Amino acid sequence: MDPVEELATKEYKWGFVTDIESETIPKGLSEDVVRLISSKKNEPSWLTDWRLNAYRQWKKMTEPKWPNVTYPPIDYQACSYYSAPKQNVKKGSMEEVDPELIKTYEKLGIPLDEQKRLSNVAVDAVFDSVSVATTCKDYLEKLGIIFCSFSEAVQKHPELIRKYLGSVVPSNDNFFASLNSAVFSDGSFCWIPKGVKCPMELSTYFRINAADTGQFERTLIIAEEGATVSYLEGCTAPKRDTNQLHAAVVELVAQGNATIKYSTVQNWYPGDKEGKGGIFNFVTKRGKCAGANSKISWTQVETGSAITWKYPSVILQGDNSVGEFYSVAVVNNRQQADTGTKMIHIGKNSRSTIVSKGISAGKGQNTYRGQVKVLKKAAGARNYTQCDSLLIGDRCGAHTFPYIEVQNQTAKVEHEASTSKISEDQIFYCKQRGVSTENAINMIVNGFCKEVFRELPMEFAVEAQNPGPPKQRDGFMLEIKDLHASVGKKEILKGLSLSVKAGEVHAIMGPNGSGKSTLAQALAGHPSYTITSGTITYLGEDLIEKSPEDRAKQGIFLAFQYPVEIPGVANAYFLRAGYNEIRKHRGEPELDAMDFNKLLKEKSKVLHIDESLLNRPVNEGFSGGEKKRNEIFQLAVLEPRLAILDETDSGLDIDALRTVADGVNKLRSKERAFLVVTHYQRLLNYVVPDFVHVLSDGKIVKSGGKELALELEKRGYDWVKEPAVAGAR
Amino acid sequence: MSTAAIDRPAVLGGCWPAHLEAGERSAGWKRVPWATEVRKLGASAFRERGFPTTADEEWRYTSVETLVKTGFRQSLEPKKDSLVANTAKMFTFGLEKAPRLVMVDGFFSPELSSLEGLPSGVIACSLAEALEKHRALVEPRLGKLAKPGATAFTALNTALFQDGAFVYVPDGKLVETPLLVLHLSHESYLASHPRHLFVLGAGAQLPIVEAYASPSCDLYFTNVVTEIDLGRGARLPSVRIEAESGNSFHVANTQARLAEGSFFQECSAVTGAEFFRHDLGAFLAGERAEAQMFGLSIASGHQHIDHHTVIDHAVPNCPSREFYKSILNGRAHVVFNGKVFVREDAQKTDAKQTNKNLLLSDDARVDTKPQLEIFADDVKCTHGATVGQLDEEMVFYCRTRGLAPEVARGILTYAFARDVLVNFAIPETREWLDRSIVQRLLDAGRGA
Repeated sequence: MDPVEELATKEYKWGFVTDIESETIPKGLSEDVVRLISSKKNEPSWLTDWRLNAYRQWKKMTEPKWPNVTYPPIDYQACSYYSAPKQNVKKGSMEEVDPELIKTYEKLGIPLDEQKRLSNVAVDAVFDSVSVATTCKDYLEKLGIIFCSFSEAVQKHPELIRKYLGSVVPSNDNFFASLNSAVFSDGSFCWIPKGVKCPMELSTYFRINAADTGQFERTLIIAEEGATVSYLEGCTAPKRDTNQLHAAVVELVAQGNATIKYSTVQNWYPGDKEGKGGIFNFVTKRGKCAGANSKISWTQVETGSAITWKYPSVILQGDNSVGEFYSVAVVNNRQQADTGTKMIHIGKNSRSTIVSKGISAGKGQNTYRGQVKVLKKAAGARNYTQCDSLLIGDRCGAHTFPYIEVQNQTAKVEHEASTSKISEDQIFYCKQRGVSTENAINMIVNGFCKEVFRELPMEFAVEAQNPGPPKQRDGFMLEIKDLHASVGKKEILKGLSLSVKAGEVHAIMGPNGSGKSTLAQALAGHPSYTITSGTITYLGEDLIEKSPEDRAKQGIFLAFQYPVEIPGVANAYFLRAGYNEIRKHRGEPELDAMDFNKLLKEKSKVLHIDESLLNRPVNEGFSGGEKKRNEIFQLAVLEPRLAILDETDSGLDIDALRTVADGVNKLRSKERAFLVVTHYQRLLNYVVPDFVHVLSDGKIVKSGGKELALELEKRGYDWVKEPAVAGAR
Repeated sequence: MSTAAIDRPAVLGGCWPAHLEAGERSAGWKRVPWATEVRKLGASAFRERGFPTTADEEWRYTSVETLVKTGFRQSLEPKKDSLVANTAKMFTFGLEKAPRLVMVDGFFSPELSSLEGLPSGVIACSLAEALEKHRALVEPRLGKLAKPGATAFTALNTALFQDGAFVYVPDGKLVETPLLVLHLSHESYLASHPRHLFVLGAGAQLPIVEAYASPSCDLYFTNVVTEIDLGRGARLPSVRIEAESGNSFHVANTQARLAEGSFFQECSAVTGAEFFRHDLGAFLAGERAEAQMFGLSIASGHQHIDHHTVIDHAVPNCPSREFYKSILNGRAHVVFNGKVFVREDAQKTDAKQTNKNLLLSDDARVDTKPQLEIFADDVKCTHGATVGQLDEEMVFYCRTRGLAPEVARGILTYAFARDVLVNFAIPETREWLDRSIVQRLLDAGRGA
């Protein structure tokens, strides 16, 4: 199955609806609605006026048209601007929260119960327009930290709200920010006092539940002088056919020496395969490094939403202030994302880093849009931007719009970008090691994104599946009969037959173009090679219809002539994935990372493999010799029944050749068979074969013992013309 | 494309509507009926949209306000005594003996032009002449490669062009010596709209040096459009030299269409003009066509230099390369916007784009926007942009070898420029550039 199709059929897991009675105000937007929202929240008059002022400005504005996204016009009168579950008054203790809500959050993996709550994370749970619960409040209060819903903060800390609300994102900043300013419902408020390092992760979980409503939350985080805080937000929504609008505003203020780390895992409902439904995510996020040496770091993983329009930015006002933006944006099916950042350098020696990873699959369109602006006074400002795109499939798109504006000669700005795809070769290589297509893609994507993922405060689990019964065997391990195989329209194997028993080593020799590598690739199941006729029986079963990963699980291993590089995926991690797939297939328990590392270390010692190879990305930057050695190492770890070495000796110097041969010899056993494909006799001096077959024009033309190899070395291939006895044995 | 149309009334203003009306009344407007139809497209496109403002994405960093408001004159007939031959001889750019087509203030000058050295079969003449004599070659291309409404300036040029160079190299004809296409500006406060068309048949080759210069330091406006059509396997390496007066305005639009296996290279060296804007586009229409764009800008004073490039990969297996560098002094402002489009079918595209800027003054400003729009998946596309100053470690290293710091800076600045200059395809002109700008750069390094 096409890997892209496979990815596209992945279900959205959080699409359920909570059946709860809620109070939703009538659809439509007017000054009265703004007043109604304000009065429901019992807000002071200055805030009502602030909202009304924003509403009046919004009415004069037009929706931005410059993002690289298309969507049907939004009718702002067709949605309700306030919806809250009935139990509207926020309770002092968890027991008083509606159990239905607690259940909802539990289902989402966010237990609110104090006993079950996530260790070291305080959670503010926002359900539609209101915050329903906040955990760990008492503990944080003792430290002087305020962490509560925005509405509560308006009541309890009006002076802070009044001071900071709109101070980073003014109410007339842009169309969606103004809309939010007028109708924002709830959100989180954090204030970290001077010198306090918040000991736990603060987190808000936003859940849209009600239909035909929008969510307009507002988050405000203030870190006073020398304070530090890390904040995480997550969000999901039910599956619905209609689009829902989410227009949030987040403001961060970091005073001198303060640090704010803000992480987002955005997983709003993205709509279905045809692009029906899904959230319109139009968000304004901005932080101000107000004081010297302050730091604001944004990390975002954007996987959801039908449309994303979002540019978390940093105003680097303080001298030596630091801004960071790490982003992974994934679009699939018909999702569209236009996201990036702005780094505005005002302070001297301010520094910023931008790492953006865009992944496009299906018919998704992904746009990076970023601005790096160095103002005249920002002497010594530095920016480094890296912006990479990965394309999966040929119907998606990746676009980059970087704006670099420099007005100071001492500034240094660097921008790098690349676009790549997941190649068929990489996927085949992974499959040959027993890793399914989906896991292969996951792994490559994870490797591609690792610079961003390591910025996330929490780890994300990966799952796997699908065991199968082990197979019995008898007589020949491998029987190939009259095999014809072609690449495209060109027939390369023209009636090849070969039989191999467990414990035997067969050398396949022959001139260039005789079909040696084709045989190796066809046995591993490379999709470019079509079997047109003949049979391959492996362990008593037909091999031809099996996928490469199934072959691998049943013990076929191909040491590639040109091992494939998989950037970002550590060798050890890659091998464990394959190893565990094979173990599961055999009905054996999987090894965890600790045990597996032990195994790797043992094997690396036996084969004299440098341990540092284990932690480097698969084959990336390896020398030719290292790559070949790594293939033999993988062979040792995966313990196959049939090992096929495809020109493993090519490109090796004599020392490397000895090491590789030594490894192979150590792995010879009664249970295991080897097919050694080679052009030269050289390797066979070290790995002594039981049988030697000469391939010419797609057929075995001569078979013999190890002495045949020596003769070939002396006389070349020309003298072997007459075909061998059928069956080569 | 992300650029949304801006809903606003057309910005016309200045002398331009009057120029357009005078043009429409002139004898040249109606001389060749089929060309009049093309001119009309330009006129209506201009009237409809007018000039861009900085609210237009493509003009975000480049304001044309001064240009629009300046009261330029218009010349509807050539002046006989415009330039003496000796003045023209000053501008050879290393090509003393090469064949040349020379325009003065927008009009072709037969006296200053020379076709000696061009192989037989090659047509090189004035565009005005070609409109009448070589309609079959001109009509399918004029205003087709550079769309009349591409920009306000292209629209004006399409409506008002008087003359320019036309070159046709037939199939399989290889021209070895470069052809110099020179436009000289002489009259102050004049707006001229030269227009060139270069057509190469299958397997043909023609090296071109396209140059813009003035013996004066006057204020004037050159608004040029160049259309280039390359047949299968044709090769057109070109060098473009901007040596306009330091008070002039120069706006250019060059559009090349590349058939299968053809090769186009433009190497641009910009030193002159106070206001400079060049839109350069290469449309890769056939497989294995290759486009290369190199640029070196040296800006000082109040110069504004803006390069907008588009490489459009419409088909698979095409490589493209872009490498632009600029050196800024004084209050100069340099803009680079490089767009690479990789269309849905354009698999195996290999596109590389680099923009590097050296800031030598605190008041200089760089805005760069390297942009990729990719709709195919099996592609190799990279872009990089840097803005920075000279590496003080390198300066220090030079000083430990006995060089004065200002000399060290001059040498390093020159090295920065050479990096792009060595790619220029026409050796005579490359060496001329090397010689003529070395002093300027050594001075620039000193902060002069």
